[in-house]
Amino acid sequence: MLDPDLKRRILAATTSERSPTREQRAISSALRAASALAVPLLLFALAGGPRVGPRPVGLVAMTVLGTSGIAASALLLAVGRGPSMLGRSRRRLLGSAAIVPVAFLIWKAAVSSGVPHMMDPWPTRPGLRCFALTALFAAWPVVALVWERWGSDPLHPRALGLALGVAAGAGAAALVDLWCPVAHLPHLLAGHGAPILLLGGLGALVGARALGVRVPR
Amino acid sequence: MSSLPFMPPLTGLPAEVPLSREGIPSTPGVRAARLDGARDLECERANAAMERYARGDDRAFSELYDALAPRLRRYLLRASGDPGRADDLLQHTMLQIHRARGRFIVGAEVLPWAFAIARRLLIDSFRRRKNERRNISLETGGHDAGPVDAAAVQLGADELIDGKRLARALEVELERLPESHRAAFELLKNEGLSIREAAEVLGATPTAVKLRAHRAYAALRAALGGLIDRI
Repeated sequence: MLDPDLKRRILAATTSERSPTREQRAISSALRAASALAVPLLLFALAGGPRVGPRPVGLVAMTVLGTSGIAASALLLAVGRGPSMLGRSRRRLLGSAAIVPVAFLIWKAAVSSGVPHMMDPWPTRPGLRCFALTALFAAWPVVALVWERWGSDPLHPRALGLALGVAAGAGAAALVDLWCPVAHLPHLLAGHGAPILLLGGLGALVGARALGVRVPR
Repeated sequence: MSSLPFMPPLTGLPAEVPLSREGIPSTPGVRAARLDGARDLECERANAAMERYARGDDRAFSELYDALAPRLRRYLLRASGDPGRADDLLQHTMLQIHRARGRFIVGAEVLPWAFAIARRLLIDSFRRRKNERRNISLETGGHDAGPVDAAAVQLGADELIDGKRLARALEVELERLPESHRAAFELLKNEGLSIREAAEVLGATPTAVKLRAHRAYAALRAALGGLIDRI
């Protein structure tokens, strides 16, 4: 038998602590999504915007089309929850986090290998700038994505954080691809792949605390 | 009924289905089907209330509470063994649902979500209490009460017939199971969740849940013998 006083207490607590309805939340989610898109684009513009360099325009378009597709799929999988309130399964989240960086690098290397000299070594470009730019462009999207899903995952917050970090990293790396002409494999690994993994790791670390459901202290 | 094989069934059930005094089918399968029907209705009620609450109808929360709270509290009480703690966790679970109402997906099921939140809060509170105890133990140099002595639960069959002892023995054996196996067993056996719902709550596949529950059942059977069937 439930204590009627408990129900009164809980109802009183819900009255004193307002929570957004679905409609109100949709507005704040849209604002977050817009800012997650706008801030990196703004930073990208400040950093000089697209740079074709020695690449044919077709190659730039192909590369960005593929990497954007990969990033969009990763975002949809990580942010979307499907038909269940419990979101994607751990296996899917981990699978996405594992596949995205690999697919990203394979695509970039495969497309570039079709054009002569595109995969030649660039000794002066080890990938530090690409690494820094990817991390910079992904910083706000990661915050926005974690904010969006804050305290909402009772099952596997760490895996969700990992997938969100990787998705944001992939989005930022797609932007960096518009700027960076280097497709030499060590450069790709250090400058384009590593930041995605780093952001995934950070996401997993933050996710365990920020995305999970916890008893308040 | 079975003594009158020529008599047509009264309720559209097969003639061999025995009826209780109130005319309620007493075969476990039929009873289970009726319970499932009632449970489905309850779930529908909870889903509808949650949907209205997500849209902004504040009065729907009371209805949602009535549909969810008894089952959640039973689960929390059984798992924590402490009525005060079960009430606290129920309150946190319902508040969590309240806070997340804007996130509720159209057409989603509220019950597995609510159970998953309750379970996570329960694990979190256990973990926190364990840490607190460890800190107290480190500060005082004392010792925690250790695990239940195995010999203390090696009870004879006659003694186990006593309901309380049986429940205690089950509790002890359940404690020894891996958490994932115990949770699968409790959600299916005690809370009456379907395999699909339990799988959602645990974030596992239905096959994994079946396997875990089976392993839990086998372990309990090995420890308690045929007495497990009486629970």
